[in-house]
Amino acid sequence: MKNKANKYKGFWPAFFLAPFCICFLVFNLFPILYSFYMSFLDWNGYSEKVFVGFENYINIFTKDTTFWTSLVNTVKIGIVGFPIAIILGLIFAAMICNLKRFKNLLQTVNFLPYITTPVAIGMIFTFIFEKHVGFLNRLIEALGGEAINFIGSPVWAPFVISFMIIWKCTGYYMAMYLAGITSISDDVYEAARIDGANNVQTFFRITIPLLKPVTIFLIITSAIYAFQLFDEPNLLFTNQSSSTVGGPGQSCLTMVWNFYNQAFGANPRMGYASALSCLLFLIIVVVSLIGLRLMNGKEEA
Amino acid sequence: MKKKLVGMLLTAAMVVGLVAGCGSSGGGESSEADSAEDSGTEASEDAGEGVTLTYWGWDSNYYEPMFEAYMASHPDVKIEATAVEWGDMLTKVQQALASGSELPTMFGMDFALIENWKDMDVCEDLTAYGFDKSEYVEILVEKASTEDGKVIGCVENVCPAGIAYKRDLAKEYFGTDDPDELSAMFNSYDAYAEKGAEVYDKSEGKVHLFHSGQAVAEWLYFASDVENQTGDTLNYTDKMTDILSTLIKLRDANAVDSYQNGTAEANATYAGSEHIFFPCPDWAITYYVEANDPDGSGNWGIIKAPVSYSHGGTCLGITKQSTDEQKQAAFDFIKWATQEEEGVNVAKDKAGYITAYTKYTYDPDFIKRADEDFFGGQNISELFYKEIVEEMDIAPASPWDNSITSVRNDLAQQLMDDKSMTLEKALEIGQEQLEQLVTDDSITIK
Repeated sequence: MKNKANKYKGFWPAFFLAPFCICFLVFNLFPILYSFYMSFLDWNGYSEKVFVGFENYINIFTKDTTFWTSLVNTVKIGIVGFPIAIILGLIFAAMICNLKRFKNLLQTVNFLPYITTPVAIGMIFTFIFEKHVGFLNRLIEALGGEAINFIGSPVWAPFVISFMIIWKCTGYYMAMYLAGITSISDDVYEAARIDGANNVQTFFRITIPLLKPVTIFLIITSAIYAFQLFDEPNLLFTNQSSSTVGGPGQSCLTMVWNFYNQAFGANPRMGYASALSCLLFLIIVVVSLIGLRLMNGKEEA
Repeated sequence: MKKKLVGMLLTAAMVVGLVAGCGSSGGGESSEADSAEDSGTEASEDAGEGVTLTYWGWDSNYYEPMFEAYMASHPDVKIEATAVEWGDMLTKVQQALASGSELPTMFGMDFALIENWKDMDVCEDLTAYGFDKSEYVEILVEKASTEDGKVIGCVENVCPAGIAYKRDLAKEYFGTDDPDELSAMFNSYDAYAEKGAEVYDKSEGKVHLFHSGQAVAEWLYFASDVENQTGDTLNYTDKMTDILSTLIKLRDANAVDSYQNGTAEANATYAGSEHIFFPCPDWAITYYVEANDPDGSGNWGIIKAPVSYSHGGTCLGITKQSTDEQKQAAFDFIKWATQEEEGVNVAKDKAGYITAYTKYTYDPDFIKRADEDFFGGQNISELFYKEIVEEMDIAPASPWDNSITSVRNDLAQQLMDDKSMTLEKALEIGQEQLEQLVTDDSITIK
């Protein structure tokens, strides 16, 4: 028995774990470590690599106002978009969880934006918000208002991105909340009803508190998603004839777009961009740790 | 024992599957099937059966008919093209260099970014293969030349630009659709502003001369003779003042609408009836005018801009990584495409491109375009390739042109969005942006 037990501690576990470990080392860990190494270089991707120590990091904090602009833009877009998407997801989930008919249909319809390709989302939103032919502006004009250049204005453009997030993520959040609601025991609701609680009281006193782990999970993943925002703004403001870095007045320049422009623009700076990505990594780690702390706090309670 | 054997076989199958999944691109047979997609990484030669060239580019309207015709008349050469988005082209090559991946034998280089291509130093010097600079339009070949006289690419076509107009609207608002009369009427930017205001009033605010402030800024950018860079100084204020002051004049006269240039909505205006003029390089005739207004044949005309200018263009370059045989074969193709009768005719007839090889560029019989009916029978060939080509000038490019263009696009859009924005304010915003985008400390932005 003992020999057999030892056998399963030796070769075979290592053998089965090897493919994952090798792939992880080659495709995950190595690029991360190599990026970290590159962040100490002055290198454009094809020139001589010059070791510059912490100069890239120092420049980010002392010279580069774009980094701070992109950080503020990212937080601004995320703070408007994600809370609304999470709240709407929760409300929609609560509304359809007890439906007898069309529940699956509504679930699918709401989930569709989440699986729509970003290119299509860019086009859809152009057709909604464009000043001259956009549906929203036609509506505003029909109601007697004046068309607004949502996509071309530094004031409005970040809100369009936030709206894209809401449109895209609400269905996904709804699906997560629906799964959470399903796991809440009917006994709890039954007890509440016996105590005379109405639907609204049940929602606020039972559903929302018991869904806290789901909410925390969604907040953490949303925060990570927010700091990685790139496709949505980039697709809206990039075309062959009128591309801008960061949209109108750089109002939609997110952290990843800034990184992308530094790394892969016409004048690439791989070393500097790597330093930016390391900082972004740190920010995401800190945000995730705060979230995990919140979750652990819940478990201890 | 039997169980163990089955277990081992299953394990082996899993591992083989995994390895196959992660498989390298060395699998010749699988990559053969979709060679059009993957050819960029497969710069292989068919031993004993001629040579295979690979190409990356975005201008499929040019390279598809050209490659097809070349392979038909040169069966020993196979050219595999990979479509790459215009905006991704430079990045793709940069990434290939950074990662040590293989480059294609040839690629298309946007003339606007030619200085960045020179910086990468990935292209063969064409003069080493017998490329004679004096046989091409001088200002174009000079732009593709390095300081030490190397030519990194051969321009596909000569790119004169004019202003396209819609005849029905011109007749309605200016009383004539005759190109000569309109040329005389619109001989200055002030004339555009004056007429723009009249058209706007007459149409009760419905019709503008131009559809996009960004398109106008792009035109003025290429028409400006201010160099972007002199030594270590970017002449930002001079260049942008040149462009934006005219744009503001046109904006304030309501001569310009606020479409975002290049979007589907903006392109749809070519077929509409609310915009009269469209800045138009010769390549834009097929790319924009005819493509966006296919039913507009006969309703278009072209006039010269107040300042004759050149806009855009693509250079064909040969990569240093290629084998000697591939390099020679690629140069033979470039020669065929730009110098030989068969190639230059395919380029003209199929893509509407007129070669910059002066023997043909200045040949009045050769330059006759096949699509003049689309322009109401106007002799646009003579206008483009005789009048404009002889007058046009090109300001030298700088490695920071992409950043300057980004700022230009943004300022143009903001000026159109905020009608109260002044030149000074726009310049200030642009300066701030450019200082962040230009990351070389040795460069001064003035």
